[in-house]
Amino acid sequence: MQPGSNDDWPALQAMAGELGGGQLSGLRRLSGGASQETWAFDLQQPAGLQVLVLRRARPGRQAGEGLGASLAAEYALLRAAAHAGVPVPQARLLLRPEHGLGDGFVMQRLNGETLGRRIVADARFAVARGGLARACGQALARIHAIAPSALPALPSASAADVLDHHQRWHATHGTVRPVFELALRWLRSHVPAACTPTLVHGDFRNGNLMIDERGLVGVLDWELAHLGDPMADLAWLCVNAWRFGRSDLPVGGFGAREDLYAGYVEAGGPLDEARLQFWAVLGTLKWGVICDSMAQSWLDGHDRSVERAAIGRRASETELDLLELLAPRAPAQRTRAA
Amino acid sequence: MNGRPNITQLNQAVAEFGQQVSTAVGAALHAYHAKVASNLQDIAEREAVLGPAADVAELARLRALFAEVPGDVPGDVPSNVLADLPALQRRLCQAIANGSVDLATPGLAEHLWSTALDQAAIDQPSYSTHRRHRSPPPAKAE
Repeated sequence: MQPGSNDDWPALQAMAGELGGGQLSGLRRLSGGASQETWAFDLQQPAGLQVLVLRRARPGRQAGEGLGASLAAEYALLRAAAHAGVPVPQARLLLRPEHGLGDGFVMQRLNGETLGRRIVADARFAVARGGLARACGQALARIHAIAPSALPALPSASAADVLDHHQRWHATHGTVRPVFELALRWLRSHVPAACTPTLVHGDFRNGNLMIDERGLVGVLDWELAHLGDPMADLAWLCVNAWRFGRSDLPVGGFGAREDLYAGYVEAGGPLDEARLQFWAVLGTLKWGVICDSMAQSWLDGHDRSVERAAIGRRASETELDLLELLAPRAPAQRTRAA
Repeated sequence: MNGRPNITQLNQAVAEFGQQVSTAVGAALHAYHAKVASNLQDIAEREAVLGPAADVAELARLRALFAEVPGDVPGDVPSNVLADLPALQRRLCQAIANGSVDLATPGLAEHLWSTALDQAAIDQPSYSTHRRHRSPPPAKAE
């Protein structure tokens, strides 16, 4: 058990009164980021077992550092998304100071698969994969249609802002990457005109989606949601890095672009191909800069796990992906059988 | 070559993992990390075998590239061939950033592709894009 959880047990049990009461059980940590943590817990009630998630600021940390939604904003986003017909966990309770658990909220715990490589490869999801790209398109259109005026304040980032951020971030690593320079030049000369600030999920990719045998069960991980260009969400979903070996299926390794766009347009989403191309290049570059930053954190000694060291060596994949986008060339020819 | 972490550091990461056996948090997580460590060892081995020739080829391409760039300051002939490589890589970055070299420059696209494919051959030869451009699929339909 994590330090602090036993101290929190009475506070959780008290808060459970607002969720219908019942016996608290099964408390376990699901994940923990730098500033937030996610816990699972169950409430045994007469009507049955309620399975729930607590998301809260890590004790001692400011919630909502960096670009993205505060926990209170995440809660509001989940409610707005549900109202708009986007599959999401049901947001149940926003924490208040008197709960004594810090900033955060409680939501329903969904059942399904979130591991990208399983979503892409498991036979039991074959039918679900067939309709998944279209379902993602529809979900994104509904997210993008949520009026920012109906939401709490969110950070805002235009295409130029995001490009500036990644150019500066890349410069701090000091890595020598001519392909990244090529991409930065192309991006500078193709910055789209500012669009109406629109709600974007910010990390909509295979890895943040929950599916089951029937299809899309939930869109997760809203902490990077902000106001920006909706084409960024569509392009990010198609970045080669999360196709989990199925590069032939650009949408998350499970679907075709035509299906994603068809789902998006039929749900009222405003597709813009020129901006899509910009965000495809920027999204690919962004993943490369992230790889360099992981290598940096290993080199600096902040995180000496083998995983961090290994991700540093994935930057070369993104260089190839950028060349495919910016300087495409014919693949190697099949050799004839002797 | 531009692998980060470099080959010495990769071996260090594997060694550090080896020392962590007794404090592993769980069998499944440890097994996963062991696979990652094994992958790093493979990368280090491939770099030892493929790296030197790739560096020589990259250097030759860079020199050819800069020999063709108008207004370029003629370089000294270096006594140590490979000491030149990081400097030329940085010079290429600057030339691309200031626009004096771009995709219209003869040889640039080919150079960038060759360098990236050689790096992928070390880092992850099974990567889809690398396979597509270096190892044609078998003639039989998949």
